[in-house]
Amino acid sequence: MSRTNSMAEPENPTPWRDWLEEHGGKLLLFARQQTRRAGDAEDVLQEALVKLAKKVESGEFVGGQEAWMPFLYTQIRRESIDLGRRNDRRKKREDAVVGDELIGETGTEGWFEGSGYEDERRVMLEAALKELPKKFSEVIVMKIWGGRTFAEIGEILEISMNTAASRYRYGVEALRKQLAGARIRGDL
Amino acid sequence: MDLELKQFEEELERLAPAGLPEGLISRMESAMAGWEDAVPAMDEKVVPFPKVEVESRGGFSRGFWSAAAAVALLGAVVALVLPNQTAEKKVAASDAVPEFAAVSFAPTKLDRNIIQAADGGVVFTADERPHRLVRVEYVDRIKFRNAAGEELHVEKPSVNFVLIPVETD
Repeated sequence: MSRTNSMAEPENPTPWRDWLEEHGGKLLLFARQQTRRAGDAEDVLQEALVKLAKKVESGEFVGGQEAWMPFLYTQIRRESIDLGRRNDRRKKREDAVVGDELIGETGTEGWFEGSGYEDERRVMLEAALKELPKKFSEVIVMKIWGGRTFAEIGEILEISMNTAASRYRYGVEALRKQLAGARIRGDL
Repeated sequence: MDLELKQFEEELERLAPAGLPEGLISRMESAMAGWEDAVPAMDEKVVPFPKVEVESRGGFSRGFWSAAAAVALLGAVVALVLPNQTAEKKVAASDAVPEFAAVSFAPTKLDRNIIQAADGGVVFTADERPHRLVRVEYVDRIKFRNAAGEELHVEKPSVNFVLIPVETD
């Protein structure tokens, strides 16, 4: 894969562009699920992609293109954990707690496309996913929208395949219950 | 996985993650193309704030006053709790403590029967552990009897919610 020195313009796309257009959305969704802010999601995604590019173009990457996605999911997760630690240390140091988890920092862009799905339900689903404990929502995101198998998810999260499957099952059940509750309350 | 859950899963699969906007694709593209120029994120150095020394006051320290207050409080409690040994107790005949009246009915039997137990789905506790919520409907039946052999039956329906931890790891 060749490298270009100039800033990529839409008229002169790099070989990465097509791949980003096809897979970028899934990775961004995972990065958003892992981080607490939209800006952080884009940053960790970029870090992970740069690492991939470095390994691929320097010949260090083991495996074919089918191994890129598991590699990127692992990197996004690690970058998110590191970023979370750096942010926590900064917060402690400044002795200020910023309630930025869900206030304006997530931006106006939704996690999902709206086509073929009621907007309200899509927004409720996104909110319900954010409320799920992280170790359950990350499995759901990787399985349903990332197309990963439980074996791959287990490797990425360093857990057993059975644990991945359990977390998925209970996470989906909790998600369904939360949305059903919203319907009963008249939110949907 | 039951049918309802499977249908919900299929519903989720019909959703598509939002694609990368053009600006973000260009940003990622140029970052990947310029990977050699990328500087890895470094751990920030933690610089502690300088400690502010609390000036010590002259005379007795705060610890001394705390101890004195504790002793004073203990003394007050003891004075209240222990009886006054020197005071004479004068109890008039009219002040004698009357006998308590015998209880009319006394419980003789208690039964608890579960009417219904329903699965309330999975919930997460504050420590993010999944639990299965079970709604249990039951009725307590209590039988009372008095000295004359008369019986009184009381039924008390109740609902309890039970959290059963589920193992995922």
